[in-house]
Amino acid sequence: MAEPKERVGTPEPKVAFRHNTFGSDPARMSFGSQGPYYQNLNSGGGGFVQGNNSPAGFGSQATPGGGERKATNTNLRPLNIAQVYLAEQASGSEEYTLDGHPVTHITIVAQVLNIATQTTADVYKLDDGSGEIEARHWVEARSSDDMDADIEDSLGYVRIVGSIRTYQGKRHINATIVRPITDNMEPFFHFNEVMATTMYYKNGPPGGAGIPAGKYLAGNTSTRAVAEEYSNLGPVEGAILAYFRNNPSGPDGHHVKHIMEGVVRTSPHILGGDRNTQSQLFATAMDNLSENGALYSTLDEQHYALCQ
Amino acid sequence: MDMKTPRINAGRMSRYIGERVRVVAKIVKVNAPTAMVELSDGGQIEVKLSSDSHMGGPYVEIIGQVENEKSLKMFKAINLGDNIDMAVVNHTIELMHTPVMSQYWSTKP
Repeated sequence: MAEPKERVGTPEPKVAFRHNTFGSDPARMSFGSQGPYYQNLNSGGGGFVQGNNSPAGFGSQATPGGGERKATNTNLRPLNIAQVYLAEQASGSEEYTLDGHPVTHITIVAQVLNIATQTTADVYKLDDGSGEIEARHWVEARSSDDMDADIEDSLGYVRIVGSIRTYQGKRHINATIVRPITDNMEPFFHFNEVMATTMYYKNGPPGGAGIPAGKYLAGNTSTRAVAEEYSNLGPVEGAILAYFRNNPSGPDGHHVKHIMEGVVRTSPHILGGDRNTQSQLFATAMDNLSENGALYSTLDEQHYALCQ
Repeated sequence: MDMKTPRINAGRMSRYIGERVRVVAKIVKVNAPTAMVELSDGGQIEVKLSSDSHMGGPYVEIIGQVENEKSLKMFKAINLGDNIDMAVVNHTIELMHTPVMSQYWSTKP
């Protein structure tokens, strides 16, 4: 029974950039400024985390009415381009919010379609799959850290740090930092950071104490389950765990046939196309979960239950 | 603002027939004017290459139009080099297709 099996199907993702975005103190969370891709942003280039007097017009940090400065105003919010358009603008001001939270300072990772050099600014046309937008990079904001020449060559992905602006009804980004991507996994890191941050601001911290159960949609359950407990396992494992969570069983657990049917029903694409691939991916995922201690067999090898 | 190119994998091609999408692909074989590539969920599709078929690789991001569930007509490709973890890519794509995320990524769950 214990012969080594050749692993087919979804390999375990390499955990190259797991950092603790969800610290223990929500008030001190600083999305977008931790992690291995941000080390270059704090050198030179205007010290954006502290700087209030950048000529690129970061916007006044003093809130009108002299209220206390909210912690989130100095934090970078990772966003995708669709969200830049979805953000709501408080009438007349340059404060933007999304899901009720400020998105004044943002970071975006997108592909450069086009660069137009003007006297006062470079204008980048950006596309990240969710939409297209222009980013204006003012001449004064440029520093030796920016490598515009390199960007021109590759027309690949760049990381932008800046703020949302609306001019003559058209929304664009005022970029203080434009940096070409060197690690091609960085866009995927960013997309995941966008999703995680969005969920955090919608629903509160993961494993959230005190969040009413009704706030979660059925679709979130598997996302949360994977994110909080077995974030280094694949989507098939997540779907299997979601099946157990949504279908509580007695002490005998579930028959593998029902588990697989449940997974195919809720996540039809997750096991791939043909019958053989489906069985292999499912079997591998079940193996992974058993080895990780998430599931254990009960009556026989066809029945599994969730370890609580 | 108009052109949205959601990221998909092989299993989801049939939902986007006639539409422009992005895929992360590993080049398996090039037989100009087509190529066989493997997408992030392990499924293989055929790509009709555009005239600038200097794709690089072995990993590329291809933007193209879905012709049928096994075939994509390429518009352009971005070289992604050799350091791509397809499991993470696929997981990201699946997360983008969850109902709560689909509004932000223009995906079809």
